[in-house]
Amino acid sequence: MSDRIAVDPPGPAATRVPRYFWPVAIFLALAALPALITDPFVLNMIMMSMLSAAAALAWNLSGGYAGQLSLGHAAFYGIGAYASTLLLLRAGISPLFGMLVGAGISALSAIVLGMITLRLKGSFFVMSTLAFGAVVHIGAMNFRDLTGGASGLAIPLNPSVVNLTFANKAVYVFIALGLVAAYYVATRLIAGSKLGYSLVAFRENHDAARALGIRTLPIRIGIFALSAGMTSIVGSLHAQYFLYIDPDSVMSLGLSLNFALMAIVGGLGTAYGPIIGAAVVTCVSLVMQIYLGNQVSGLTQLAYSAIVIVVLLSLPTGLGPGLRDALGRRFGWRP
Amino acid sequence: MDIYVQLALSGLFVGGIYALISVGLTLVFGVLRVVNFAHGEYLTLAMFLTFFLFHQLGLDPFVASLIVVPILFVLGLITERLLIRRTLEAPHVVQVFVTFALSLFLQNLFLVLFTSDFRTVRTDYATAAFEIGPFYISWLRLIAFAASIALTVALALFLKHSYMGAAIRATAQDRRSARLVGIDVDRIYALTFAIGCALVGAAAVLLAPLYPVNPYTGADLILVAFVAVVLGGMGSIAGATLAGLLIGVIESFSSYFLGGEMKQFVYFIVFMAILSLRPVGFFGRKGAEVMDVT
Amino acid sequence: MTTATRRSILPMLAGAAAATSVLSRPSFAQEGPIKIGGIFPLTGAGSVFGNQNFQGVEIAVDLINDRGGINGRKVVLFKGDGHTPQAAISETNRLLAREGVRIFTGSSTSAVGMVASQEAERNGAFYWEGMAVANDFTARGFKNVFRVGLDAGGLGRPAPLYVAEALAGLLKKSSKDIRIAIIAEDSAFGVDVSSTAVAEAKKLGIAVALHELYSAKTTDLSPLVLKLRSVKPDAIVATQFINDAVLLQRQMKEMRYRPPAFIGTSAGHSTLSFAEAIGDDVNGIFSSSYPNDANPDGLLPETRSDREEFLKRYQAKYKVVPAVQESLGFVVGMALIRDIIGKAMGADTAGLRDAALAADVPAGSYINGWGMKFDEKGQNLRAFGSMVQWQSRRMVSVYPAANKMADPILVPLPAWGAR
Repeated sequence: MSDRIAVDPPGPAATRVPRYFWPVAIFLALAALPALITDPFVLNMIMMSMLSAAAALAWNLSGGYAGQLSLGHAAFYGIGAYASTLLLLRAGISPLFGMLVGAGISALSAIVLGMITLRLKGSFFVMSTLAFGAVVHIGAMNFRDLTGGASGLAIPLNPSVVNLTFANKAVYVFIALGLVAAYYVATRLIAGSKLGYSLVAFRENHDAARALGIRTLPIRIGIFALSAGMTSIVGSLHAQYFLYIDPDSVMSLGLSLNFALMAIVGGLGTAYGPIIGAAVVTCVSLVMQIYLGNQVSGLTQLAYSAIVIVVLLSLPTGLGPGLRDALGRRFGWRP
Repeated sequence: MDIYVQLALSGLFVGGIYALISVGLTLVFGVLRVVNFAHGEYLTLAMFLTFFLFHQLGLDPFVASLIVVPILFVLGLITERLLIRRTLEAPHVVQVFVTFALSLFLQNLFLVLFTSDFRTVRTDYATAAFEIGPFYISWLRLIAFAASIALTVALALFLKHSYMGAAIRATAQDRRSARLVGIDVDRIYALTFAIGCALVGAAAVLLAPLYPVNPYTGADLILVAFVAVVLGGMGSIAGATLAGLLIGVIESFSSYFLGGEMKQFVYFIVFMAILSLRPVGFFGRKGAEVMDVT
Repeated sequence: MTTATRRSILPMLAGAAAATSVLSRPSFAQEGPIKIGGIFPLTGAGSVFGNQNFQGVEIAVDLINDRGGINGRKVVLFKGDGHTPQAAISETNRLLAREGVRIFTGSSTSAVGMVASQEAERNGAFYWEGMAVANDFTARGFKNVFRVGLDAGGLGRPAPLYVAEALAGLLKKSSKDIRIAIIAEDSAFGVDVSSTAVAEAKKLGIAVALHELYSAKTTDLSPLVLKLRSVKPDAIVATQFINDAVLLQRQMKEMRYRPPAFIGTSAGHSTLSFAEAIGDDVNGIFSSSYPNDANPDGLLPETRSDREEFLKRYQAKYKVVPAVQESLGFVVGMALIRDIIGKAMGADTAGLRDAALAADVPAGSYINGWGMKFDEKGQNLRAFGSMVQWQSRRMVSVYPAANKMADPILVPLPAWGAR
């Protein structure tokens, strides 16, 4: 009975919640957080969640909507981090500009990679992106004259807007939150457009999509490049927040897996899924560290991986859609 | 000239072990269509088992294999039943990430149980070697190589000539038709996964006297196996073997002529080049890899 | 939003947030335990040395507590698992905010140390580094960050020095016509340490016949052995972790290649796992590293009793003899707690900083022979690398003179299996 209301909402338009009410309300609430919270642990937790959420949103555009499961996105993240950092350290160019350069380089490499690999099916594509990630990682380790190699690069702590460096964490949180909001809006716009529908159609059944005359390869390469460029910008912000980068921390395979994992845990191919996934995964693992961190080494990650397995098996569509369905069944409530 | 032969020999010997690790992985992929990211952790586990049998009971690794390989087989059965089977109908991404989370789980379980210290099986014959002309050949590496190739051949013969092997191949080709002709597909899945684990157990026994083990050993080695599997054509046993050997040789030559730090870089570049020219890999089924897209 | 308004709003917000965070900061408790946060990689690839360092610090804390604490106050050591820089930053913040820790120590790997120390500095806390060796660690202009351990040069320089001063003579060569090969694994540690070794060798006029890097994850080093064989160095100077150190020795033996001398420059060559893995073949191998042990005659009397306590307690707790990283952890802990916190009565960060800058602890005050005096950048000038040699499968100090326990033996190295 309650189902019917949800499926076909009647009532005058005035009493209906506008389409963007919930997202806007939630972002405004989040924007108030950094001003209210001064606990550095919590601020760091929010910052880490936001960085992950932005990267997962970027990954989700290509991995979720287009079904292109890339395990090489950390390469783009790393290119962003290194591009802005090297331009700042070697040429004194503001990271605000450097991050755009990084995004351009990432998008170009994604186009080249996409032209080679996007014709490949599932597992073949996965493995070739994985190899691409490894090549970039090893390259950064070995071209020491340019990248500093495994020793990494330290950015001096000179707070200023031009340097995109701040003494206080709250500022970073605001910037990251803005980025997440922008990526969320971009995702909604793309998902609601003809482009988005073509991608989903292709993902679900590429033969049928082709029969309908949808030319997908160019737009799939395009979305891959967009996703790469967006990931790259998050990488630049990462570098500015940590003020230290090395190949292992900005371009490892583990990082690529994490972007994907957060999108999947939250809900693949939805705009809010990656945000939920990133927030839950980051907060759960940090909070567990509080209770298990002083115990035996490895216990936190043991518990974390067990939780991931349970979530994936019980809610294969992700926490967002999974909970939504559960709520819908139980209360007829569809947020 | 001598140096080329010596490098080729070293490369082949390492490649033999890569091949044995990759064969288990490719078999599981071919039949279950699951990329098992936790494959390396079974290698670590088997190496730890070999170490403890050696250290606590004084069992020689080659004797210990009689215990380690069956244990891995049983663990494979258990993992398939508890975990992998539940993911077979799930989306592709869920499969990938369940095995990835399993790999993280096992790594940290080993860390909690065994600490991060390196353990070495130290046998008297670990560094025994012989000379043929100007070449030095390590007995253990030669044996590891020979055993890897022998096991791979045995597996190929089993798949080709036994009833069970035929059933596995049928399932790999078309699981629905296999079910229709009365093959117990679930049992085939369990068996295949267990064989994959047993093979990696055998690789571990061969590797244990050569190489120290800690909770991350398998994770370090598994990337090579992934590359070999794709390069060989996913699901192809002959392909994985050939690719494993080839990677060993590429590593050996590139580390001599370009420097040790460049070897991974070189084989990944070779990998991407081959993929872009012949995406199906050496022995993959044509048409399995490229989508018909415009 | 235009650039102009963004410019004015962001600093305003930053200022407001900074003000509130200062107000809400917990004041340094005069009563209750003294809290120290240990940020080490306790899981993941760096965890071998991270755990060993941590255990050493822990023994120092236990010892000081059993001796009555600092002015009657107990010392509590909190575990922070910095297995990646990301984890290090969050663990530093967790201990700051949740446990009220204002004093940190770490970190085993440079990546973790760089990030954890910067996070401590940003939050006005005190940071005390042990094992991270990155040369620019103390070059960042931080006020409250001190390194009691060595920089990369401290680890890399002793090997060429020892070749010039002692080995050349034993090998019956002049330091002018001696040639060495320098090899290293390609993480930050290997790269930094081996480049200082190369620079020092060049300064001393020693020819570097080969400088090669490789990944520590490798399963086959035979191409490297072939290269070494063709280069024929008089000594190999190697910066390696454990598994690759073991692998290299085994493959040299397989291929019947034996250098006249082999010097490890930390970290793998001074672990017990290394000796266990290659057995008697370890004898004669040098390891330039943090001093594991010092000649007790050169130690102050109370340091001698520290040394006995440390050995006794470590063996009782972990059932093995402590090696280099464990004893380094102990030294780091003793220096921080006894000589900095103990001197800065009830101190806040500024007090700890003053105590560190004022510290003038003579050599021989710590179990490895070190003393403590900081330069203006926060680097301990009385830390030194030393040379040990494996003799009868025990590490024996042979260099420098202050730490020397015995003369070097087995130079040039005897055949495999005859050591």
